[in-house]
Amino acid sequence: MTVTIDTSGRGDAAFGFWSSARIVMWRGWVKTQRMPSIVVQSLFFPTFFLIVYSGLYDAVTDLPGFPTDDVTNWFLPFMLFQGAAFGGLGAGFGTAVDIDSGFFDRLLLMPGNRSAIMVGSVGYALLRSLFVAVVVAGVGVALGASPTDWAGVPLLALAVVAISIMGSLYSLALIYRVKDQRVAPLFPIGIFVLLFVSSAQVPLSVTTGWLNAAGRINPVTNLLRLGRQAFLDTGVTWEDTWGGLVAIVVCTALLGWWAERGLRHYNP
Amino acid sequence: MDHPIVAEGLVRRFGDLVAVDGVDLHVARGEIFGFLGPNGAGKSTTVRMLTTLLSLSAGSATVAGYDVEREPHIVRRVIGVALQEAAIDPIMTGRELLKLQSVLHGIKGRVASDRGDELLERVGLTAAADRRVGTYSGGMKRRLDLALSLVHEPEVLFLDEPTTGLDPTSRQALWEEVRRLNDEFGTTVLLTTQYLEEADQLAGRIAIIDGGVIVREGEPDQLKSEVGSPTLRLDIDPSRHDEARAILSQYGESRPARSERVAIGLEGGAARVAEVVRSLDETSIEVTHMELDAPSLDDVFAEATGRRLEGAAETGAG
Ligand SMILES: Nc1ncnc2c1ncn2[C@@H]1O[C@H](COP(=O)(O)OP(=O)(O)OP(=O)(O)O)[C@@H](O)[C@H]1O
Ligand SMILES: [Mg+2]
Repeated sequence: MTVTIDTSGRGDAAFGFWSSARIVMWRGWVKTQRMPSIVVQSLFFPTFFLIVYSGLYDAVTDLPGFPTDDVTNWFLPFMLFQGAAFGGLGAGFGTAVDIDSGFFDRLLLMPGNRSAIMVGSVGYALLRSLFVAVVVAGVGVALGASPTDWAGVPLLALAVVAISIMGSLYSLALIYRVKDQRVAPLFPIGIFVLLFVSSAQVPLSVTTGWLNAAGRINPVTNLLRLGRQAFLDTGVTWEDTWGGLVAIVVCTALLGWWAERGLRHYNP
Repeated sequence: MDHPIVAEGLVRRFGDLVAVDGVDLHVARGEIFGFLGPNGAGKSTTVRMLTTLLSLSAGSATVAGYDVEREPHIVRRVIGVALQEAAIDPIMTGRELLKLQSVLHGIKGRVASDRGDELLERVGLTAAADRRVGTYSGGMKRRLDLALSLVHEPEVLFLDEPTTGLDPTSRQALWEEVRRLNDEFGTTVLLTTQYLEEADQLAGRIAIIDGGVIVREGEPDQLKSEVGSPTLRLDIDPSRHDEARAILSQYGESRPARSERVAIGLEGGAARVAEVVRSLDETSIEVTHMELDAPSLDDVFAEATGRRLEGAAETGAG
């Protein structure tokens, strides 16, 4: 009963980074299916807001220079982002539960590279986010949203994926450091602030003062510019695209680094 | 590599609290080593350091020859761990958890499922394999946890209070399983416990830990004999007590006993009982009843710490 041990170097690769990440992701998915309430909750808010905003804020499109006539076109990308961001937090929530129950120790005892746990959690939350996105998009189309430039649709999809990943990495970075389920209710606060201090509700041009200043430097504003192009009168332009792409690369890299460091130094 | 588990001067602080305070351990290959101590003694903290889940404040440790701080990933390949709070997900089934555990240890496909089936059989969970773990009894959860810790055929097994909270039957079953593993595969086992009986029955050698410090270490019998000789109580017709005492005095000092009895601390232990009986018989002193009470590990614990463990363990939930 001995194990052949490769003592040369770290040899972590022998333990299949991707198969480990996949099995962690698979577990998350299995659990979600058995607790459908989780999905119902992540579906409910973006769908509900989309319906309410589309009904209530029709007049917003009458603002001078508003980039679309259709209020659903305006709010759909925002609601997809919201769904993706909160879906992404599922990675942190799931990990918080695992830390609390001690299950996380079992994962930490894997001989391979522990980053696979992080990647698996992000992947699982992404699956959830994508499921939500498809449903919310369906509701949006039913409410009358229709792309003005189909070239923008893959860009919107890219932004949704990126936002889910960022939400996951952010929540994981926090939970890997705080290691306590009690921090979990704080996850959504950061997301709310970022989403709302942006051009999410109205174009930046109609905001003033600090809100305008904060909105300008908020990467979410750039992501929204990128993602909304599919639904605005102007269609896809490079000017509205590049800022979002930079935001995706920079934010994902920074959050990924932050989360990975947290996990690497996890051992208390 | 005669000692798969070696710890030297192991220290762990949590703020001002010193949970483990200079623990030295040398566990030999193929040994079942018991780590006995009351609540808060530092058992889990020691196990968590040895299994790479907790960093060391001072000291060093190797498991299977690998340094737990410098080569933690190699240590994790060769150890199986069942932690105190059986870390199992109530929403998953036993079989699913085995699959997860296998993949995390680099075992896949057919090999993994065969191994999973074999382990389920081994711990008697075949029938419950596809049920959610949340529906398992405490004993079943523990057995599943044990099975999970074995998927990669570990060389060294750490079991943190594997039987706390189990009824006597389940406890016996788990002991059997640990013994079998040790017999069949020579797996080195370090198990922590607050149960004297468990340490006594299962472990070849034990360390008693209290307040983060190892206060006694050795084979249970040897530790017990160090505490003192066993008490031999003999029921003898009171009219012959003086005669009997005279004969018995050569076997050990007299000890207090009920009126119809004579008691001594039997030097040399159980092996000399026959000799005692023969001496009495030669003088035709009839012994109607006889009891030999060996010192227990609780006496060892009491002698080392001035407190008793017995009873405390039964109420302490851990
Ligand atoms: N993460 C932690 N932070 C602070 N203190 C801790 C931590 N873990 C353990 N301790 C403390 O260290 C001491 C030893 O705890 P440990 O869990 O090792 O005891 P134990 O022997 O396993 O006890 P039990 O039989 O109750 O499981 C206790 O006083 C405990 O409160
Ligand atoms: Mg403990």
